[in-house]
Amino acid sequence: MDKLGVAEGLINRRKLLGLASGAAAAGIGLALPELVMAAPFEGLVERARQAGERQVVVAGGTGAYGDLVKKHFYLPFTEATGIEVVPTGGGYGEKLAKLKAMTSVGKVEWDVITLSIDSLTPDVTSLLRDLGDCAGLPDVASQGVDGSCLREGVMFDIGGGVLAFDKRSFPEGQAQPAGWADFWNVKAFPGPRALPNIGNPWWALIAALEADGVSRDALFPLDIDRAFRKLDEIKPHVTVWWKSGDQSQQIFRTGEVVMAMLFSGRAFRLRGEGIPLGISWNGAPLDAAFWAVTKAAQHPNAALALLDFIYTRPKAHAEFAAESFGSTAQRGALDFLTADAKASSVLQPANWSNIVRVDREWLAANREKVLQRWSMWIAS
Amino acid sequence: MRAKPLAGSPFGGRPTSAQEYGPGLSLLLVTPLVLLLVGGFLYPVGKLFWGSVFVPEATFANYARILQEPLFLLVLCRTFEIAFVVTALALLLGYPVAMAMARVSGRTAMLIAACVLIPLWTSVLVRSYAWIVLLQRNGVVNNALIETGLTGTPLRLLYTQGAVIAAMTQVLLPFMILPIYSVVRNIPDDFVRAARNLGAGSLQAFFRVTLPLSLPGVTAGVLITFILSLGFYITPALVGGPGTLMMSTLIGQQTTELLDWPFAGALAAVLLAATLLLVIVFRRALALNKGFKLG
Amino acid sequence: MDGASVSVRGLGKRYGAVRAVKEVGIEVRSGEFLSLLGPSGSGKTTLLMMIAGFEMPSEGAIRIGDRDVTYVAPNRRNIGMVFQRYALFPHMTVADNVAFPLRMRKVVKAEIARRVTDALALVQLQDFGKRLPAELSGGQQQRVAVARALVFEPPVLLMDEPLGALDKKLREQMQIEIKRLQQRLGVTVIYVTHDQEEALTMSDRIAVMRNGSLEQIGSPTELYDNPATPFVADFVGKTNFLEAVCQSCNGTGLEFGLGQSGFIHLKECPPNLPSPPRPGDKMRVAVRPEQIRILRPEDSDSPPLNGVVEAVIFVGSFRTFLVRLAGGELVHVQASTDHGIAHPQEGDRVGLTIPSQAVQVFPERRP
Ligand SMILES: Nc1ncnc2c1ncn2[C@@H]1O[C@H](COP(=O)(O)OP(=O)(O)OP(=O)(O)O)[C@@H](O)[C@H]1O
Ligand SMILES: [Mg+2]
Repeated sequence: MDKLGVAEGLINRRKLLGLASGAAAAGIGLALPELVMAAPFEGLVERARQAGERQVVVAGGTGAYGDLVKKHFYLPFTEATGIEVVPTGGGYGEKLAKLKAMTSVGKVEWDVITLSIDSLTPDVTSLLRDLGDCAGLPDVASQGVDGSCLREGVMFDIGGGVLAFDKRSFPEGQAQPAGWADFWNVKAFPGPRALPNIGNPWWALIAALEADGVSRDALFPLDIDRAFRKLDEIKPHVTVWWKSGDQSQQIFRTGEVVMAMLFSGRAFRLRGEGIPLGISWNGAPLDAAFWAVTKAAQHPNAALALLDFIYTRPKAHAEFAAESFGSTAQRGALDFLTADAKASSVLQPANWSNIVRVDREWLAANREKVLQRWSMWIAS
Repeated sequence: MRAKPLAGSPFGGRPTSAQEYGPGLSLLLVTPLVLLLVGGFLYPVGKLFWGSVFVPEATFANYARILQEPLFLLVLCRTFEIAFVVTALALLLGYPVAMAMARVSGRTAMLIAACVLIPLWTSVLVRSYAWIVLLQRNGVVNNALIETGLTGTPLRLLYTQGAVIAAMTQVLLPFMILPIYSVVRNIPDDFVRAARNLGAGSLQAFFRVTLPLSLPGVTAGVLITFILSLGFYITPALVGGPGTLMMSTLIGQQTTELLDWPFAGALAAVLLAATLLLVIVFRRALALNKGFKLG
Repeated sequence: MDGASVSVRGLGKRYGAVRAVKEVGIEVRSGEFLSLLGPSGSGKTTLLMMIAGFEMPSEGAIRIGDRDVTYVAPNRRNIGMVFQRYALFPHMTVADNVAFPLRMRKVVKAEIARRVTDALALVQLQDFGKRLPAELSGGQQQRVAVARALVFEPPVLLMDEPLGALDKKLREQMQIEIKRLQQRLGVTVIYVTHDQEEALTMSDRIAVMRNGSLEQIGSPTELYDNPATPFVADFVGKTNFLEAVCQSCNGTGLEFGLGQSGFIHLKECPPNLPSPPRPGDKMRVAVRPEQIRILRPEDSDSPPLNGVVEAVIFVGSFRTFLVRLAGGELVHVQASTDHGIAHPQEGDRVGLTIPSQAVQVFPERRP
C-alpha cells in the first residue's frame, strides 16, 4: 500500500476498499488563534506539553505505506517531541464512516485523520477543524508547495493523473506526446490508449476539454456536453478502461497500450521496473491526500504539532518519495532527489503549475450527474 | 417391459421411484435440500426482493429508476443479447461434439471426453486469464495473425464484446455438450436405421429423427447455458470492457461498491423475471409435441 | 405388389478377428417366405443388416431382383424392415410413423393420407392413427411397425425377430397374421428367428445358420425329415441321438448295435451319407420322438430295443414318455393321447421299435 494506493483509494472512495491511506493532516484553527499565530514548531510542541497531551492518535494509512510513514515521520516526531503517535487506520470510506459515527456519539478518539482531497464534501468538512490559512503552522507556508493549506487540512501526498507514454513507441528524439491534445491526436501518435474507469470521470472530462483547446483557467465549470463530445472522438482508440492501479501497470508491461492516463505513482513504479515511460504533467488532474485535525480531537495541540512537523526535514521527504514512488508537498525535498527523478517530479515548479485542480464546489454540485452520464456513456 | 415403454419415457423405462419408496421416505430424502433451498436461497433472495420495494419505505422508486435511467435497460438488453449469442454458439459448436462423443468409442471417445471435461475442471478464472493471454495486443492470436501476414498491426481483440462471447462460449460449452450427449447416447441406433431404411438420407434422418429425439438434451443444455450466461460475472469482468458491462456486474456494483441493496434487489428481480419469462417462452416453443415435454 | 428375388453370394462379414458371417449364399425366390434360423450369435442379424444396407459386407455380393445393391445406400434399396424392438419413432404419431416412408418418397399429401389409412386398416389399427407409439400395447406397436414397413409397397420385407418381445399367445396370433399378409401381398420376406417352431410354421424355406455359416437350407419338411447335419436335426424339432456301431451292411439292409440296449435295423443305406458305412464304424443315429413306437411286452417277445419308463409327461394333445434303455441312454418318445386307451405307466418295462424310414444316420461326432 503505497501513496498511490492511497490516491486511488481516494478516488475510489465509493468502494469500501481496504486500501491504506496516507494523508496529510492540516493544522487546526486553534482555540486561541492569536497565541498560535507567531508560534514556530517548538511553540506548538510546548503548547501540547502544557496541555498534558502525551500522544496523538492518527487514523492514517496501513500496510507497507503505513510502515513508511511511521518510519519517516511518526518515529522522528516522537523522538523530537516526546509525543507518542498512536497509529490506526483503514480505507477512506471506512475511516469516514467511523469518524461520522464517533462524532455523532460525541467521543472522537482520533486526533488526526488522513483523507483524499476528493472526499472534502461539505458533510465531511464539518467534521474537521478549520485551519484558516494555516497561519498557525508556519512550516506549511514556508516549506509547502503552493496551495498546501486546504483550510480543512494540509496536503501530504501529491500526484495526479499524468499522461504516460511508452518510449518504445515514441522514442527520444522524435515527437513525443506532451499533453492531452496529443493524446487525442491519433494521427501523429498512433496506437491504443487507456483511460481510467474508476469512479472519477471528471479526470477524463478535464483531459477532453484540455484536448479540445479550453484554456486552463476556463476549465471550470466543466462544459460537460463538450467534454463528452470530445470523448466520443477518442473512444474507439481507448482499448482499455482500467479499473485498478495494478491493471493500469499491467497494460504497459504487456504492451496492450502505448499511452494512458495513469496515477503518477503507478507511472514511477513502472519506470522503477525498467519500463521506459515518458511522463507529462501537462494538464494532469491533481490527486492528493491531506491530513486533518478532527473537530473534537482530544489532543489538538499535539495534532497541530504533527501537522507542522510533516513540513520540516526535506531529506526525509525525499527518502519517503523514493521508497513509496510518490511525492509529498514538501518543496525542499526536490533538492534531495536524483537527477532523473527530479526532472519529472511533481515538485518541479513547471510541473506543479501545470496541474489541474478540481473545483470542489463544482464537483459537489455535479458529481452525481457526471457519474450517471459517464456510466451510461462508457457502457454504450 | 421391452414391449411396452412407459409413457413419458420414449425409450422404455424403469419403475418410478414412487413405486419403490413410500412418500414418507421420499419426503425425508428431500428434506436436506429443501432446508438448504429455503435457508440459502429463498430467504436471502426473498429478503433482497422485499427490500427492493419496502426499504426504506414502500415504494416502487427503485423499479421506476430502472426504467428511467437508460443505462439499466441498455445493460439488461445487452446481457440478454450476449447470453443469446453465447447460447447459440455453444449449441452450434457443442451439438456436433455431443454427437461425436455418443457415436465413437474407445480411445477417440476418451480423447473427446477429456477435451470437454478437463476445461470444466479448470477454474473459470484460469480459463478467463488464458483468453487474455490469447487475445491481448501482443498475444498468441495477434502474433499469429501478424506472422502469417493476415494483418499488419495488431487487432483489437481483448476487452471487446467478441472476446466476452468467445470466452463465455468456451467456458460454458461443457454445459451444452453434456446434457445433449447424455440424451443422444441413449437414442438407439435402430431409430436412425429405421429412418434410413424407410427412405431418409442421412441428413433427413438426422433432422427428422435424431434431432427431435435429442431435443430434451438440447432444451436442458440451452437452458443451463442461457441461465448461466445471464449471471456470468468473472469472465466478462476480465476479458470485457465497460462496453460489455453485464447485469451481474451491475448488480455487483450496487451491492459491494454503492451499497444500494434495495436497488440491487430491484435489478435482480427484473433480471429474474425476464429470465423466467424467456425460459417459459422457450420451453413452450421447444416442447414440440406432447411426447417430448421436459420434466 | 410383387415380391422380388434376393440373391446373396459368398457374403461375409468380419469385425476385426470375429467372422460374424462366413461365405453365405442364399437365393430367395420372389414372393418366398424365408426364415433365417439359428442360435444366438450365429450371424442372422448381421446377415440381415447387410441385406438392409446397414453393414458393409467384407466380401460377397447382394442382388435384389436383377439389381446389385451391395454398395447401395440403405435408403435407396427400397426394402421394408421390421426391427426387433420395432423402432417406431417415439416423437411421431402412429399415422406419422406410417406416413414417414411416403413423405421420404415425396408422395402427394392426399395419396399419403389414403395409403396410411389403408396400411393401418391392413393391420386393423384404423382408429389408432393419432396415438403415440408409447400409448400402444406391444402387439399394436408390432403391427404399426409392419404397416410402416409395408406402406411403401417394398418388394422385399426384412424382419428381425419381430415377435420376440411378445408373449406366446400373441406371438402365435401374429405369426398367422403376418403369414396371411405376406401371402396376400406377395412380398418376399426374410425373417430372422431363433424359434424353430415359428420358422416351421411360417416359412416356405428355412436357412439354418451356425457360427456364421449356412448349415442347411430347405423347406420345413425337408429340414425336419432329412436334416443334413446333427446340428440341424437337433435344432429343428426334437431328436433323440443314439451312439451306434454298424454291425452289418448287406442286401437286407443295415444293422446298428446299441450295446445292451438292442439294435436298430434300416432297410437301406441312408441317402445323406457320402459313403455307405462299413461294419465297425461308429455312427450317430437320430430319431424323432414321435416316430418311435412303444410296444407292450405282450406285443412282442423280442423287441429291437428295451427299456423302462421313467416318466410320463402330459402335454395336452400328446404325451412324452422318458424311457431309460437297458444300456443307459434316455429316449424321448411322443405319442398322441388316445383317450380311453391304456398307456404305459412309470416303471413299466417297454419295448421300442423304430420304423426304418424315420432314422437319420450321421458319422460320429469328431472329437
Ligand atoms: N459390431 C460388432 N462388432 C463385433 N462383433 C460383432 C458385431 N456385431 C455382431 N458381432 C458378432 O457377430 C456374431 C453374430 O452376431 P449377430 O448379431 O448377427 O447374431 P444373431 O444371430 O443375430 O444373434 P441373436 O439371435 O442373439 O440376435 C456374434 O458373435 C457377435 O458377437
Ligand atoms: Mg440378432
